[in-house]
Amino acid sequence: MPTPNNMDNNPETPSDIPSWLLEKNQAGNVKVRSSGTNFIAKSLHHFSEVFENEFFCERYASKPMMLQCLDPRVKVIVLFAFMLFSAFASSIVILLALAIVALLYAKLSGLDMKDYVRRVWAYIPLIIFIFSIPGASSLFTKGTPLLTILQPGTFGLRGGLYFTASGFKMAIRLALRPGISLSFAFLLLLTTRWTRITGALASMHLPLLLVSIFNMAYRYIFVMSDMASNMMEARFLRTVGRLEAAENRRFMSRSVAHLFIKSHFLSEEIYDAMVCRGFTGKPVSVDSFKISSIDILFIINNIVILLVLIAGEHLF
Amino acid sequence: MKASVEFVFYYVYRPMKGYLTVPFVGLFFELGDFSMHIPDGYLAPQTTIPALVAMVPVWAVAFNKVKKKLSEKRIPTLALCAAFSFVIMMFNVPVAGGSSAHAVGAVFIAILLGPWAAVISVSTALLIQALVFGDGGIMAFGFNCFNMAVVMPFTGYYIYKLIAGKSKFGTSRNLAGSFIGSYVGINLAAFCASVEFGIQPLLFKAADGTALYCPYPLSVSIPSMMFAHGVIAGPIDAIITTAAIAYIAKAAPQLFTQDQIVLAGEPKVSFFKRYKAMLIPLGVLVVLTPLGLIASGTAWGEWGTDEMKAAVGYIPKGFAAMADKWNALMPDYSLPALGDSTAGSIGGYILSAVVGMVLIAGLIILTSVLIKKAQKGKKK
Repeated sequence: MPTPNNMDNNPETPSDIPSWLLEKNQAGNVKVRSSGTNFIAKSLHHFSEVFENEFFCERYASKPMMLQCLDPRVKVIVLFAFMLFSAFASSIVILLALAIVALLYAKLSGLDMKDYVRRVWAYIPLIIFIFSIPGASSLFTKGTPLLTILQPGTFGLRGGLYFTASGFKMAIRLALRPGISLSFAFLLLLTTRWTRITGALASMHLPLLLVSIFNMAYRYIFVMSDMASNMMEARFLRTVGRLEAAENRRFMSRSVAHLFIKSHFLSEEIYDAMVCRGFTGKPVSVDSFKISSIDILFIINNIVILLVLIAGEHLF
Repeated sequence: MKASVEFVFYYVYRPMKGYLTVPFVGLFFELGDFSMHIPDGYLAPQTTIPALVAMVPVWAVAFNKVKKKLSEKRIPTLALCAAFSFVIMMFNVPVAGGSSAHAVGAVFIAILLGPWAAVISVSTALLIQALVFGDGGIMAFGFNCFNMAVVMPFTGYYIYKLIAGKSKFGTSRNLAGSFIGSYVGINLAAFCASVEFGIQPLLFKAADGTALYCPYPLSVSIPSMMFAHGVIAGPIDAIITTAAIAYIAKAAPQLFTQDQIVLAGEPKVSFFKRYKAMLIPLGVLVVLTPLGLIASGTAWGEWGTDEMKAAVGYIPKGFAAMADKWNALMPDYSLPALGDSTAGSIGGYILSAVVGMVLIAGLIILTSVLIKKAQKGKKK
């Protein structure tokens, strides 16, 4: 999960929200270690992330900036092309260039840079880098020694134990790739509303049935997250003293089961409501997209950018 | 004291050098909140794109199977099930000593709604996770779906069926079936993920032998993933599934009789005909994959010179020198400047990089300005 937005110093914080709502939740930050309810705090944190994320997506997507003005189909194709290229690219210079391209697009689309960089680079790439460090040692990657840990001959190791230069390059490459992939994915998501993304997928021949499932699932994630967070919050407030881990596990599994039962009945009700409103079993799309001259300009410019990057891949 | 340390290293460390990273790699998946969501960049696109394409017929078949049973009710049921699957993947379950792990719950959905419905709902949940939260890569989406939305529910479901037989819901035999089913299901999925990781260094290597994608071979990836899932994630998922099934059997037993999707009846509709419009572009993508190979193939040139320089610059006695470290880190850019000034001098490289970047930035800014102008024009 990406780190949450820090509401305190976010310039995107709108003025129409009362200040008491923006105050940091003190109770959430207090870790009550003795009661063993950390798992509830963690789960609650995940749920609040879901809502925060949607809130900021909505804010960014309504700005009349660069990427927001484009046809969602064009955006899906172009941003996916960048992702695909980054998967194939292996030169660190080119991968850095791709990261800069994504940052430029984010800046010109009016995204808050601090928030964007934190979302993209602060978590997953860092963890991947740490995870790849053992792979950079002489055990896995041979090459020029960069940092020696054990001298040759120590403990019977003929070559010693050291980190290699090519190993570090590999670790940097591995950390850059998920970051770039995330950069472009967030660019798409933060500048386009979910229904427009799925609408674009529908007009690219994804079955309409599937698209309506995506749309409904996305909508009901918020309803179900709300249900789940209510359950967790109630439990969090009622917990006094210390509970066994087994008892807590039982609570979590009952929450899962209860949520399933609730979602089952909810789906029946939703179906009835849909039938009442004239649903015949066949989903209909109301989205219509038009390619304008700026979309074509955007495509051409990005083809040129990709060609420059491919040429760079040959050079570096 | 020193002798004993040397003894440990000589007889324990040396024989299992590579395996020392096993617990480290295994813990990464648990601590990193990844559970089994493979991020982008760890698997080569030459493997992830075929995996994505291979998933298309699986989804099509799953759709047809589910459609038969649920008729037009399928949209809200599957959507709610996907939302449910998404939400329970966010549940932190306490393990021990204040630590917690994530539940997956694919086997739970498979037991209640059948494996085909689990395929659709878990895949949808994974898609939203990948697109909205960056949990699990977009390129790696095919593999993530294969592991968590196909292998896990199917093995879990059939093992559950095998053990539970026709026993009533909530009986101890039934619960034993769901426990073993979900334990084996998640472990088999983890095994598949570890094989996907482990084959990368075998298949994709730069000319100097460095791994281009995941650096860990099968001998490391399999034990580490199996350690993490056999000891932590597996039991947790099994306990949660079993307890949840027991709760539903007690609180809402009518659910079991209603919604079990019958697997009988093969679909007669050819999905190739039905999804032709989607399969053709996917096919084109697969055909184009080798072109990507050509694009990345140039990196071989880079590695070739790198290797050469490594061979020249590698002096085992003097590798502590700081200058050598820098050369090793950036051989392509600094070494030519030291000696002969061939075409690819340091200045030339940096200059071309700067020119390229300025060109790209200029294009992006130009596009932005033009789009803004066009937008203003529209408003007028």
